Amino acid sequence: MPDSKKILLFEDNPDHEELFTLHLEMTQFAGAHVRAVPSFQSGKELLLSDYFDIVFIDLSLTDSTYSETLEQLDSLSHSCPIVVLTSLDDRNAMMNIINKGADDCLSKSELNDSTLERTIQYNLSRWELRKELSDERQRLQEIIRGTNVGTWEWNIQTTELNINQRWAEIIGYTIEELAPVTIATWLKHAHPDDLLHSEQLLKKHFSGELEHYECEIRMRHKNGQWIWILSSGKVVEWSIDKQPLRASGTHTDITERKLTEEKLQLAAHVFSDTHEGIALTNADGIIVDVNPTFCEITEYSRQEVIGKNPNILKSGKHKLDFYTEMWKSLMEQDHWRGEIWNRKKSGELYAERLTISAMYDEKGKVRNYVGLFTDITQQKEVAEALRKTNEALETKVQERTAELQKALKKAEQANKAKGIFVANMSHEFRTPLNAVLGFSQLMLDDKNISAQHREYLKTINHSGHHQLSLINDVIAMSKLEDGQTTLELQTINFIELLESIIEKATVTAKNKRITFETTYSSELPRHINCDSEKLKYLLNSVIENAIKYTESGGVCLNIKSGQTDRYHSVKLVFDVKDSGIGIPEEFQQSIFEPFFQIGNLGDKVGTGLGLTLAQRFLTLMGGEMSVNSELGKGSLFHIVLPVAQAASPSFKAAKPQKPDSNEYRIQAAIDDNANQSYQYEEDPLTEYQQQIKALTAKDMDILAPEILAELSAAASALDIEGTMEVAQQLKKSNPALGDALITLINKLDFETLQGLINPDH
Amino acid sequence: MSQEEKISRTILLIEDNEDHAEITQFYINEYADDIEVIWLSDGKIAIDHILEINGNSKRIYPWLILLDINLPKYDGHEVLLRLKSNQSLKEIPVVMFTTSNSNQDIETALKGGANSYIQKPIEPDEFASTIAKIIDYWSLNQHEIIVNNLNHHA
Repeated sequence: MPDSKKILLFEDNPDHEELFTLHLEMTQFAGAHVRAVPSFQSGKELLLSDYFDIVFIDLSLTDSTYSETLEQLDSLSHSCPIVVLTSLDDRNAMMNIINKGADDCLSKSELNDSTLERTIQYNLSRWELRKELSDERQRLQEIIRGTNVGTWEWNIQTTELNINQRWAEIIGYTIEELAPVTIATWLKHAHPDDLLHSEQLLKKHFSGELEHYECEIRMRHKNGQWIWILSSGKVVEWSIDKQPLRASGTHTDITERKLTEEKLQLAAHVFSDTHEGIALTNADGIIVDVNPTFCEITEYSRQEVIGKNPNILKSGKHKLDFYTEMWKSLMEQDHWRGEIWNRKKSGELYAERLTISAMYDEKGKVRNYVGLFTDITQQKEVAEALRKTNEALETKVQERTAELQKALKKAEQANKAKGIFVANMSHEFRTPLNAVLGFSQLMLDDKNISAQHREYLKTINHSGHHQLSLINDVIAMSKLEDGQTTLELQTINFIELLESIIEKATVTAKNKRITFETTYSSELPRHINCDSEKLKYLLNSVIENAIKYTESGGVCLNIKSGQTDRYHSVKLVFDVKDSGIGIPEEFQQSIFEPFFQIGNLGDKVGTGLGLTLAQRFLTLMGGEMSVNSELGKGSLFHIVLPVAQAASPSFKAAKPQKPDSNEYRIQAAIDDNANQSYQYEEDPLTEYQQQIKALTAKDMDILAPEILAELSAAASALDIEGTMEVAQQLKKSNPALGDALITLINKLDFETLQGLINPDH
Repeated sequence: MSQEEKISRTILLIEDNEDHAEITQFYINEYADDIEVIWLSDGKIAIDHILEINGNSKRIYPWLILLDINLPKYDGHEVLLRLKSNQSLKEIPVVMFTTSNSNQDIETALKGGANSYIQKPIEPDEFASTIAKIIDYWSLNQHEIIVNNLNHHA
């Protein structure tokens, strides 16, 4: 027995109402509660306020004509089935009523208890079905929304494509932006390479080969990137001749999954194809996987090692500490890196460079350890070989060094012994020579001696002198070679020095009956800063050498000086030209070697060291000597010597000077006054002594530090212009001090100037 | 001035080699034949003599001391040291006169206060001009300094 239903009846004719009720009484819905209304408006309101299971409506009503009601059917609340009761039997009119929104139509002429019952039954069950369907759709929509799935419905015949908002969203658009959406929209956004695959799959589905269509395909996102879509669907409507009419399905964004997949693939690829052995263990250190390279290196198969502890590879070559350190590093720094000796399955040892890293889960607990290693046995072997070679080399080097040090020590000792020997020898040789020379000289003074004996004595004296110069040269040479010879620079009267040399050479040349000429190509500096003994020796040697090898003609000495530069340095050039025997070209370099003699020169034998010493002294003084010679025509010795020019000698007492071996240098190391009394003809102090006297280092203290620094730099560089500039500047603010300094600079007394600037020096 | 105080025309020759002493004497006489040469044959004799002539009762200053280095008892360096560290003797000019030309000897002597260093053998005229310079200087200046010094210390 069905529940009692509530029926709303629109009917303005009471007879018809009664008839309807009567018929109803005859049906299974006899207990139904019928509410009848005569006007459209009242029924419409009632439908909104009350619930009914079914509505019957006659279109001709008190407030609404047939056609008016028909047009207003839509405005009724459609909460239950609406059945139109009509007097018309015409089929077209009935279709029109259905189209206007009615659920069913019943002709009054056909109204009886059975048609009514059937109509009510049919509409109620249909309504229920419809409701279920609507609920189902609702749920489906919710599901679709919940899963973020794009949907599509494709009308294959019209190419129309029906999509939801999500479908568009996945590729970065709204539906409106894509409209009109057809299958072309899809074709436009899908990746051409993937479309081919998609079409093949569709074809298989259409032909029935595949039950579903499912394809992973790339689509172009609005932002230009390709995103991965899983497109799946199914034909939902077929034509009679088995042609697909409509298909529907979904789109899912699988980009992230795809990327993960790619990463996994890459990882898998790395794992299987890398040249490094990889072992993966769980948190307890038990091997869970190894790669093929691991197996290749260790000779264990994958099955053999899975479930085992990696210590099956232990070589026994490392102490416990080594492994303790390894674990400590793993715990504290998440990784360990190092070289380790392991043992293969066969027992063979191999070296690997191993990195172990800990991998953590989301909670920060160790999930796995990954060991990555390369076989470095060969490298190790090479390194070992290298190390051994190096060691051997080092040992050799050490041995050699020790030998050398020993030899060096010996040489040093020998040198020292030689030095002592030379000093003693010098003394021992000179002592008897002193007697020979002294007494022969003493005897030559005796007026009573015979002419013949006088000649003998002269020979004794001459021979003694020759031997003395020989000794002196040997000693000088020895000192040079021991590095004991230093330059003794002092201001000397260059002209005086030249005069003494020329005088000596003139006498020697005269004795040989050859000429000796001196020419000057330029004005020469009067005072220079130079080691006078060495310069004297140098010029004497070269000139004597020229005279010695000249039998006819003569020797010419030409002297010139170059331009004085701003540092007060000048180049002196001495050319010694002779018309002697000349030097064969092959010997021109050898003439400066010790004891070099050309051929048999009979009585021309000198010490054999003259030119050698001359050249070495010259080098020491910063000069150069070259020789130009033609056999039989003569030689030209070209000497260039840079010296510092001094306009006048400095007034400070000359430093005590070491006498040189072959000149009997007397150094009167006495104070300024003494020096002044015999060393200089005039007294140059008087001119500005008063001014300087007033000037003390304290006076300089008032100068700004930068002026002092500038002055100091210029003074130590012997820079006249520079110091003068500072002094002129100074004169403007402090005329007395400025004048005093200018006087000093004019006198080129840089020594005093420097003393004032840096009183400590 | 009760004490005998004078600068004598004397050269003290401190030299152990008799031949050399004779030659040097000859050289000195070549320079000036009125100079008295007192030959002292070793370092100790020399020092004793100098101290004696500069005792309490007299001060006799030689013009010059010619000092050899290789000497018995006190060598030349020691003699020099003793002379130069004595306040009343240090102004007497000392000329080293030796056959040694080792750098070490030269340096030690010049640092020790020797007024000059002459190496033997030497030409008579060169010797003469050297000692002339020193004696000239001495007679011109040093006399006064010494006298001043003496008055100071007296």
